[in-house]
Amino acid sequence: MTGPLTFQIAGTIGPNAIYIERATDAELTAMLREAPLCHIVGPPQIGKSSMALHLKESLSQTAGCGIYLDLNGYGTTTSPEGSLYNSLIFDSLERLTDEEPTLPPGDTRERLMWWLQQLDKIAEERQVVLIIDEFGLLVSRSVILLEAIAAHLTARPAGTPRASVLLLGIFNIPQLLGEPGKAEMIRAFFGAGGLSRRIELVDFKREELSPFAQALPPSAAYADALLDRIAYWTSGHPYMTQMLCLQAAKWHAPEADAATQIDRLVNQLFLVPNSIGDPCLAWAHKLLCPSEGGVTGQARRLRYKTLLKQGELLDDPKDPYITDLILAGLVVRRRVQDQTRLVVRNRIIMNVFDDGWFLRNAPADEARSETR
Amino acid sequence: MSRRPWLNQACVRIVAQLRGKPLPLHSSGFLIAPHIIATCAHALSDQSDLRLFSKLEIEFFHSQTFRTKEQGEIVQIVCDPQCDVALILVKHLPTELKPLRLRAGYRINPDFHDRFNSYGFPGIDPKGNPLPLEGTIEDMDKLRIKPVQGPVAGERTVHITLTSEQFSAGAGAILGGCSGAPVVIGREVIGYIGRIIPHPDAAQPPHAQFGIAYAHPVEHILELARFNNIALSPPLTDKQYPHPDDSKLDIAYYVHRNQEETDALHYLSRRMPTLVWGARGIGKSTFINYIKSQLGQNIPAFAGSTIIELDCTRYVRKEGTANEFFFWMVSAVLSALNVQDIPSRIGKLLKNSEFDPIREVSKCIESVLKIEGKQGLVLVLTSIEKLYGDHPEHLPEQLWSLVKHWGSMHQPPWNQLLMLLEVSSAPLLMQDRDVLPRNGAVQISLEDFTRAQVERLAEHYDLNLTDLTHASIEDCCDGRATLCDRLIDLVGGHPALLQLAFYSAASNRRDLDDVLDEVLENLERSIYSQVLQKLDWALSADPRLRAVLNALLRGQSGLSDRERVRLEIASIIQIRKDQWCIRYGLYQRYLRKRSA
Repeated sequence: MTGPLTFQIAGTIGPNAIYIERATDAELTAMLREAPLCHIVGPPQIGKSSMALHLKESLSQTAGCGIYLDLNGYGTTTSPEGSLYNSLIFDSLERLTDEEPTLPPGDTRERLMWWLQQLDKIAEERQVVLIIDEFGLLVSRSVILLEAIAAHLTARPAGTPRASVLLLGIFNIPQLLGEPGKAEMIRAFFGAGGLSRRIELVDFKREELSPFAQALPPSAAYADALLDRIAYWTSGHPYMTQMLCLQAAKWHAPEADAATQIDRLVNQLFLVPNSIGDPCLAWAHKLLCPSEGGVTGQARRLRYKTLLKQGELLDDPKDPYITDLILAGLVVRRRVQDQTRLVVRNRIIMNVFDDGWFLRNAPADEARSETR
Repeated sequence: MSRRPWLNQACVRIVAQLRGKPLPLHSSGFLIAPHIIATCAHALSDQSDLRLFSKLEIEFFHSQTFRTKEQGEIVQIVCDPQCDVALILVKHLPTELKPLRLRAGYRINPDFHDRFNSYGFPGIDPKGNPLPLEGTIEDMDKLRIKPVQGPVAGERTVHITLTSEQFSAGAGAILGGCSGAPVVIGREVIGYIGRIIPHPDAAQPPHAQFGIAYAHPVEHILELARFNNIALSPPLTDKQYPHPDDSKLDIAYYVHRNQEETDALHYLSRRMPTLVWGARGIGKSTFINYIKSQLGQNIPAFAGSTIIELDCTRYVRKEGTANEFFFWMVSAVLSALNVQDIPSRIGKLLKNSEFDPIREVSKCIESVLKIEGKQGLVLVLTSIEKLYGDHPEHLPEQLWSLVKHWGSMHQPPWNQLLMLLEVSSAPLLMQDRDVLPRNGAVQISLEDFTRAQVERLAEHYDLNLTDLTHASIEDCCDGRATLCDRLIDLVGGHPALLQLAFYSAASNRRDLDDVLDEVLENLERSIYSQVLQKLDWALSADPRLRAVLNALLRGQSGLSDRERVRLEIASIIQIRKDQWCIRYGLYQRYLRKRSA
């Protein structure tokens, strides 16, 4: 590593960026050894892609192989399906072998089956994990890849070495279950007891934040105090935490106590009314106020408002609107005894999307009925 | 007053009547040397003998107000009807009149979609008031029309085709009298208006209300002068202050935004795609130009890098697929790098149906980086907001996806690529589609100048804002308001609006207080007339916006996201103390006046 350490506030983890291992990293590695298929679903900027790239790096250090396919680089919404999958197949195999792959004749489904077989063959010699990032872009179009994986797993004798697949993205499973032609396959993969194992990517814990202190001036004790206050506001949200750290790293000397400094920064970056220019908050704002209006936005707002009033809500995995709130980054699941509950993600979210926000942004009749 | 005083001071109204003819001809012209006016030959009925004219008047409008006219004494005319060009030699002209600079060669290599300005004198106005014109240099082939030939346009003339909202087919008659008006790009004349005709596709959308005009190139003027041994004097030697429309950065006039500069260079040094956003006129282009100039110094790996700037306003295809935009982008990159055989490369991209076209775009950029990117390649994509709205639905989404994808590849040759992006508006507010920049780009938001920055900008124009103003400002209860207070009260810290005032004062050696007095006396005829006219057009096109702004004036709200987008992009509104409000005193006064 060369150059000073830095914080990653956009995109995937780059050179010199500090990567923090979470408990999920170990869980993911273990899970991929056992299960042929895992998925991580969550809002933007919680570190999904960075975790996948870290996994890829770790695999290469243990003679395994991670193939990372970032669907942002493909015409998932614009290109013909055949040429899209041809590209994915070609690019993944090209990275595994020295020779230029030759695609076999046949239709897309046959090629996908052939692809999975090729990956399994390589997995006989070393661990192979196929990572598909932004998988939601594929599944919103069709489930042809899931069908191929299901058929492949059925045909493959149990106990033989096989490649694993990790799917990452932002996709609303309860909503997909309501789409004709997809429901069956979505249930088979992502429903309770389905083929794919869900990995819950949780925010950083306070004790996990310590590596960030090395890039924060001016003293270890002050850096620690800064991190305490940052965690107070962000509850370890990866982007928000690093955004605050990045700005705090510019301070050469403390102008006030750490809490005051961070409070000012939080106010400046996130809490001023036009801070919804911040990409993270913008995403949440957009899901709460979709431009098409109608019942979807209203249903999301209603649930969020209830949660805001009550402090917590019982999770309902079948409710697409609750999933929307989770994918918006507004809400996280908390395990309390044997129940899964939903809580507002952190104090920043709670302060931005508060009663005042509803008054300013919800349709007038909705805001009035809420106040009555 | 025009927002380009150097232009209107150089333009003239010509009234010419031949003996025996019942009516005079009205036309326009412009000063090309201290004593020489250029115009069309047909404006003088193709005649050069002064004795044939019963009336021949040249009127200058050089003063700070339109109404002060000066007559010049005409001593000679030279004229070439074939090229539709004439030069009028005049004496006893006011000494402060400054000729316009001519730029030869533009007709050989026109830059389609360049914005032009002109300044003519429509004959239909009995008072002979001038009319500022603006529009676009158009690709004649694209318009599928043939150049106009014939005695009026000049048989030997190679035309430059212009389009403008003001050349509307219905209003074509009003524009009679603009023949001979200069066609200016930046601050140089590239031609002069020869003829205005209705648009041939006037009945067809989307050009239903547009017309076209033909301009003759300045080469005709230069050839006529050379042929007649008329010397054109050298360009102006006075200090030239930058106009807000001059996008080229003169580092001597740049006002630093230290925090934003540090952030942008920090992000770029980490190879993070960096998105600069802010309202129109806030200084995004200037800021980006400065950052570009600092890359080599701050990011050694990119010293000597190739910088390619792609302006999305130049991609104006409203039909076609999203992929075509990316092919245009690749084509522009290859073209900027002088890569040979571009049509063949792009053709392969278009025809290769086996693989995904977007993936092929990345492959193409990757191959460019391998070959050309040893010194680094900086891709600057500006005016991205233009890709929202009328363009194919998935285009913005696909663009942000690709930005994230390219920025996420840290291995060679992708580590040789930097991306600097520019958009007018908070990305959130682009609500036409549910498309947001993915988290692939870090964002730099540009706001109004601070008071210190306003004063710094004024210093560049040799103005001192700490002087006391003679006006009273409400917020200054001790009655000791400075020029800076008065200016901020009117236009806040908006760089382009400030610069208009500074430019007007400095270029005309006037007191800034007087310039501001004039603004307040007559907003519609002030240096901000065009700014306010644009606002008026926008409000006329969407009465709902007018209602919303009137509500804001009364302290009420009720903005939809879409309205907020449009008004915030145009820097008409801003949020203050948790409330949306009209951004500047200028707009408040104007809207109050209009609503009254």
